[in-house]
Amino acid sequence: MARSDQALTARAAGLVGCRHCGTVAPLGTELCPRCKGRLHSRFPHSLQRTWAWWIAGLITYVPANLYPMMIMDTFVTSYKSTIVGGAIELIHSGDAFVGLVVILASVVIPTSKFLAIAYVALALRNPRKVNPHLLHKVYEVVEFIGRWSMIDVFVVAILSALVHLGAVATILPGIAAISFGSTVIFTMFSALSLDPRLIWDTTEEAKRERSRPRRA
Amino acid sequence: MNDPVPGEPDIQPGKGGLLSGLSLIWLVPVVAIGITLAMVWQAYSDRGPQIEIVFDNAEGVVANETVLKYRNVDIGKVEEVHFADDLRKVIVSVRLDKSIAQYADSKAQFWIVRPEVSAQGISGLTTLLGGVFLEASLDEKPGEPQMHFTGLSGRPLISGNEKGIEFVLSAPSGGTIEAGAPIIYKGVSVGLIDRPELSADGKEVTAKAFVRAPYDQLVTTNSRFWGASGVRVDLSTSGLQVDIANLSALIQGGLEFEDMEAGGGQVEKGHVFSVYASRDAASSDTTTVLAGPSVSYAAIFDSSILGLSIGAPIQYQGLTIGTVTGTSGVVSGVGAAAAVEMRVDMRIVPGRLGIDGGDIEAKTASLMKDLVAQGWRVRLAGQGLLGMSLKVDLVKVADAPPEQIVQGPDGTPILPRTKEVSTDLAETARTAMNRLQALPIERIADSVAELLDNLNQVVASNAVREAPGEVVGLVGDLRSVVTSEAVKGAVSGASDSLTSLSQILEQMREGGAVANLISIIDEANGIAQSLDQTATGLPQLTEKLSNLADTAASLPLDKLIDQADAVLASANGLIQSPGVQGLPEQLGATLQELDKAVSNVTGITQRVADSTALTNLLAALDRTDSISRSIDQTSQGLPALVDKINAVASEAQALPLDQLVTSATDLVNSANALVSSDDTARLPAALGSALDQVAAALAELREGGAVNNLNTTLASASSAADAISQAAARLPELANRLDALSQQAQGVLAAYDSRSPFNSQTVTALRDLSVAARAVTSLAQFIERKPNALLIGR
Repeated sequence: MARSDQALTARAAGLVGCRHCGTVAPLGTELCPRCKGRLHSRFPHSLQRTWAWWIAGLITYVPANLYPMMIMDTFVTSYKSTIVGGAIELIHSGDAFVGLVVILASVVIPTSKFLAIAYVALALRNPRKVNPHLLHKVYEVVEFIGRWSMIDVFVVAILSALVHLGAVATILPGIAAISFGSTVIFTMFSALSLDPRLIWDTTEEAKRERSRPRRA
Repeated sequence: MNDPVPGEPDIQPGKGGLLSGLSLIWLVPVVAIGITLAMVWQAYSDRGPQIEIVFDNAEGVVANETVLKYRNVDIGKVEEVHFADDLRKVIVSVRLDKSIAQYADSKAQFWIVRPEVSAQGISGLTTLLGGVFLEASLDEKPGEPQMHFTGLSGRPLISGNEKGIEFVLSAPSGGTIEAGAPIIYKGVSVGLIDRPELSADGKEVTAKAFVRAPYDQLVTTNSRFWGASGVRVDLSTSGLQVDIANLSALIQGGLEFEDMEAGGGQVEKGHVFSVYASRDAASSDTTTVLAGPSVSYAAIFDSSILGLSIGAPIQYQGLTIGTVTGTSGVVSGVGAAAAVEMRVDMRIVPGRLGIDGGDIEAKTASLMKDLVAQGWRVRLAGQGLLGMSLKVDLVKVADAPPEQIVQGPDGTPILPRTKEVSTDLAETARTAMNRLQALPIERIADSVAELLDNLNQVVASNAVREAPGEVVGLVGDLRSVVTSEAVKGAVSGASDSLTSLSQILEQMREGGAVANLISIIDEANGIAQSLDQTATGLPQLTEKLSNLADTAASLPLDKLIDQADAVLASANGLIQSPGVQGLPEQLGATLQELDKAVSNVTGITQRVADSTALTNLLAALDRTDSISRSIDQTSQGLPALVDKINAVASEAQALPLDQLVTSATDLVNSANALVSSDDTARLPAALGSALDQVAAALAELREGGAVNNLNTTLASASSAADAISQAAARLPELANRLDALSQQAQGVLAAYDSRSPFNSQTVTALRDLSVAARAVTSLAQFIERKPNALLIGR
């Protein structure tokens, strides 16, 4: 049954691997005999979880862009800026690099993250035409890069802490800061909920079906 | 590679119902979407309406930044600034707070607050830092919310949302109406004027004005407004008066108002008031009081109507009851009597005469008929002090020939006139002048001239003319005397002396001293009569004296002279004695006392001059006249006196003179013996030194200027005495004149007996003058109150 282009999975071997300490235990074992961690051959409801977090992230991403990210109160005026508005203003005022970084971190990365997770999740449903290696790479990138998309929230948090000059100038985080933070967290959960082993399960399953002769 | 191939695991799909395949993790997006929806709902439900305000110019308005404020509280924010379709206006979209939305009704006003410096002050300074903002004026009552508003160009002076009365001012020119200028009532600013606007036809300037509550009650339909320049200058009989009313009025003008007539009604909003140039113009305008139904009348005058203009007042005892509406000429008479008379058409407002209700025409006609029957006539009268312009007066003429109102050719009733054409002032003045002319001024003037001549003669006499110089010298002397210390010390003593003297004089007066004097003089008279008798015997006396002289000649005079020589020598010795030597000091002391005494006398003299003593003295002098007359009589008795003296002399002649001479001789001998004694011999030397001391004392006196002063005093006194003497020489003449004058005065006074015609004339003249004076007084008061009456004639 084993083929040269098909790796033997733990599951196929009747084993379950611990994701925490790497110990292999017979399939059906619930707790890791070494580290007592919970053992799953595959995450239960992995795709459902992924989609749930994904949708929650998308929902919170809407107010994150519509509401002001940062409220700057000076004694003359009150200035509120949204994520995109602030970035555009930065670019207009000459700080194109900083503006681009903000757009990259706050718009491009979260958006591509959504797209990437959605792509992977959808590909697992319809695995025939996808390259499992590409899917896995995308997954790796999403997981790595996810934490960096909090850069905007960090900026606001630092400024709010630093610029507290009473009547002269005060910077407060807006609703968008919380929303955006939620978005980032939700997408991270979404990425984590996706069991990468499913990539191989489904693609190899698909291959197997393709190689199988059609029944009359 | 031979990997162990595990057996095919038995993988069974989970079994369960419909929900068993779902993870609880789906709650997360559900909660997220719930929260988000809640936020969206909240934001939407909190959002107020968006209104659009149209401005000509949206300088400084920034979308999403500029706020809308009401009473300095944010009630909205500009969300959008864009142009109207034709680019002629700027539309500012403002998101209102939901709680305010219901107040943004048709009465709401919006404007842009910018920094502004004006006569009212500096405003909008905060916008220099924070940028402009929109401000709203809202009333307190919620209304139908509006979505579109027209913005004002600036803060409205009259917001329309304050309590008070709003009305319209109309002026011929905008000079008196200044935007934001105050409306002043009795010097207090009670309201203000909005921006003036030119009326469509360009004939007048109108402005909305607003008077705050509770002062809005002061504005009535009879209120008049006039321009307050802030400075008012009154020139009246009480002098020049400059009032500076109100500093802000001085800077930016303003309007004052006052009710010129009582009984004004409540003013409706939008009532139009005219603005007058001055208070006087306001008070003299009768167009409003004469607005009402009127009745036409006419009058025909035969005199010139120069100065009678259309609109001139018709006055009934000072009350303007109508105006002149037209003048024309009418032909009267034919042939030699042909003439053109002046017809004056007038409209009389019966309401001014107290006629109201229905059928005013008939009531007025009846009243006019009654008035004419009582002697009321129309006449032309001058207006104002100078009477340059004319008015028509309705006056009551005493003893007027009976006349009636006749109908003119056009049916207009024509009021009968009186011939009298005069201005009141001129008439009064002429009457006063007539009275003055009737006064006997010439006679009075003659008497006064005579009196003055006499006085002139007295004054021009040399004596009087020289008097001042001498008086000056005398005063200098007196000053030196007065400033001496002795005088100071003497004052108290003099005071006592004076009181004593005063008492003495008083006693003298009470004791009938003068009567005593008269009795003394009577006695003297008797003595004089005796003397008269004596004088007749004088020749005999002379003879006897001659005999006596002869007898005396036969006396041993030689011996007597020798003895006298001896006596003198003895006297020389006596003077040298020490007793005599001490004499000068005593003499000095005596002189000092004398000096004091003189000072006292001076003081006494002054007191005498001051006190009633002088009047007493004058009375005494009066008596002196009679005394001198007595003396005159007395002198007639001198011969008798001489006779008596003669008899006395004859008796003297019979005296034993020889014995006397021998007794004298004995005496001289005794004296000689005394003088020749040793003590007496030392006297001359002492006397010599004493004389030296006296000389020194006199030298001191001279150096002290006392002698000079004394000399000048004496000279002055002498010349004064001369002057008085000369003056006295004139006195009889003066007395004669005075006598004559008094006789004349008596005659004049007799002429002015209480029942004489002059007196009655004077009384009437005075009464007329009094009336005239009262008229002038009231005129003056009137002018004082309204100086402008001089110019406008009312």
